Amino acid sequence: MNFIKRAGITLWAKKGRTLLLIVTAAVILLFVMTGLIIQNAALQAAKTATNSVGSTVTLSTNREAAFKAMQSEMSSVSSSSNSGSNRPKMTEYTTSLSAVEKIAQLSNVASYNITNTAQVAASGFSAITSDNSGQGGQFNNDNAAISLSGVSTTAGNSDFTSGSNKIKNGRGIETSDKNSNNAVISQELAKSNNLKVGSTVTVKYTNDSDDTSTYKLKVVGIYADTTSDSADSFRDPANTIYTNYTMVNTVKNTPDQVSNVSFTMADSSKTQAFVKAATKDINTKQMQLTSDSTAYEQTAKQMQTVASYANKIVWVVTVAGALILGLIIILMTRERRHESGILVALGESKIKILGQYFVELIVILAIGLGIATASGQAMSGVVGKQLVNQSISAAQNNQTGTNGAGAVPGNMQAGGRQGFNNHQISGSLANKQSLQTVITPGTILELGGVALLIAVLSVAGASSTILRLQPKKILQDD
Amino acid sequence: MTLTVKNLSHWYTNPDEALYRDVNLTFEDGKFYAIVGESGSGKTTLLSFLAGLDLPATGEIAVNGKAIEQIGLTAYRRHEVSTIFQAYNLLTTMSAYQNLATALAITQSSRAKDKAYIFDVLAQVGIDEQKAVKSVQKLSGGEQQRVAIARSLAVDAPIVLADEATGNLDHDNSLKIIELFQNLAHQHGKTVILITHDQALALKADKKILLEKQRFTQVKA
Ligand SMILES: Nc1ncnc2c1ncn2[C@@H]1O[C@H](COP(=O)(O)OP(=O)(O)O)[C@@H](O)[C@H]1O
Ligand SMILES: [Mg+2]
Repeated sequence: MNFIKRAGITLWAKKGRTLLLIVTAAVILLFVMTGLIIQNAALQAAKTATNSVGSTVTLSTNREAAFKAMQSEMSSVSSSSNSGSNRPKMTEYTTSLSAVEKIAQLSNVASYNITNTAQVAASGFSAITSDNSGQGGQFNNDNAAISLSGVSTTAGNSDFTSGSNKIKNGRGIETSDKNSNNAVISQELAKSNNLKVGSTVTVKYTNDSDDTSTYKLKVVGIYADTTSDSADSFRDPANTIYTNYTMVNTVKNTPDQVSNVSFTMADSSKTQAFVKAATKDINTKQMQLTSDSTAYEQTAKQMQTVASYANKIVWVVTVAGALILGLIIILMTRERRHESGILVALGESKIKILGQYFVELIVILAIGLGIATASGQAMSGVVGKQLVNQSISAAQNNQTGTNGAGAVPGNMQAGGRQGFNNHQISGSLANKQSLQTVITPGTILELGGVALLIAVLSVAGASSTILRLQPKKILQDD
Repeated sequence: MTLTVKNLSHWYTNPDEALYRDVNLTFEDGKFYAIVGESGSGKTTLLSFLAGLDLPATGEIAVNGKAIEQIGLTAYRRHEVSTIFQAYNLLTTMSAYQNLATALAITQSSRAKDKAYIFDVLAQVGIDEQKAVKSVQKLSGGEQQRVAIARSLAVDAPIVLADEATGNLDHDNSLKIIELFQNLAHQHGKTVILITHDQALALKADKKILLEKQRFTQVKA
């Protein structure tokens, strides 16, 4: 215990030296702390930000199964020679509404949105024809130019959540529109046919048995497609009419059936667990669940990069700090050989002399830690912002690349999705992913560990000087 | 405690140029010894062996027949011997009081926190309380020497070694210190060994050992 007191006396007597060491320790620990805070913040942000990016699981026709069914149909068609003009069609399987509702009860479902589609023809009004549609002529424009998109709500539909579609007049489709013929049409369609909110349009649907029925739709809203740079040359997006999914069921005569549902996950990281649980409730021969967590993974990866970068900073600074302080301590210990020799001559053990130096260093580092903690908040805030800005611009560069690749003709479906995802990422990165650079007790504890490590390494470095000390040297006059 | 030097020979670099060969000396308790020799004759070197700070090339130092290496050098330094160095060797970051308290703490003395005792010992060598709490660096050479003597007195070791302990003191103060040493030997039964080049001072000791031409000769019984 005596050596602890001696440490105190020395620190107090050599105030100038003590102060210099405290400043050095504070600076080193400040760097370490900045790294630790950013590392923790990045890990935290990786969790929250990626959750806010969110992921969706889509329940839709099992295309592989549908394709196989189509192939067998084709072979049966060819064997039984002709079957008229009916060319083989890929079956769109559906699942019951009750099954969907059951899946929606699973934990981790934040919301779900049903989309049933039907291709119908305009009756008494004209669909938009793209002037750039080279192959457009091959399609009978009157036949199935209108896409009927039956949704739970337009507000929950990805075309609207992504921001590409916006309601201009009237209102969107709501849950209360169930079993109604209310519809939302595009601005272009409204303009070219002089339609307004309150107007009524008629569409024709031709089923597999070539029976045609007509349905009246009441316009309750008009939307604008803000992107409108679609590469879709087959079907103009302006020809999409949104209704409640029950309307599509009515048109197709498939009551209580659902062809496409997207489930939004409450916790993105639990997406796979949800898929596993939900698979039990579906007929996998017809339907499939596909999770879309690209956005989630991409964001998580970015945050991991920041975190690992911070981790490297922590190590580099810790090692550099330990070296700097260690060297200072070794030099000072050499300078203090005479003092140590006197203590040895008085009968002190060398271990206790090292103990004294260790205590001195711990006190210095503890005060340095206090200073670093007090000033660390501001410092790490600045550095954290810098890091995130860098990673955002890097991410945006990447996205431009993927967008280009996504726009390959013939792959517009995928391209469209990709574009939407990237939009999500950059939006959330810019808005939500500022690093929460907060000093937590955990950070201070970690920093304390680093300080202790520095103290141990420094004293270990100084120990050879003390252990090899020859007390006889103090007899020589200086 | 009887301190014995057995068959001690020592040289620094060349064995052919030994400082001394086959030295045999006995120091008994209750007696005050003076070792006298020219500067450079090897007095401080001998002290480094007696104080357990170094080991001779050959031979051994023993306390009551037990070699100090067997006792353990740290234990020997802590409990058996106290040394007044030629260069004082005070802890310069501390006051006189703290120097004494530190030495007492290292020797595990129960008096390490006994303020009255520490001030009393310092008073014995003429250091008042005001000077006792000042940094020793602010004291004069003579005062520092007296603090070094007080430190040795305070730890109350059975063997007291002093290397030119009065070198920086005026005549009156020197006499006082010599009286202290005599007192330590005669009243307290300690083994006191003073190393000096001062023949007059050596006359005050009970026994005088002359170091000349690599030999130690006891000249006064
Ligand atoms: N560490 C050492 N290495 C080599 N020679 C030394 C060392 N210490 C002392 N000497 C030499 O040994 C001789 C005796 O020195 P010392 O014991 O200090 O003499 P004294 O105290 O009688 O003046 C001197 O010639 C001195 O130069
Ligand atoms: Mg000498």
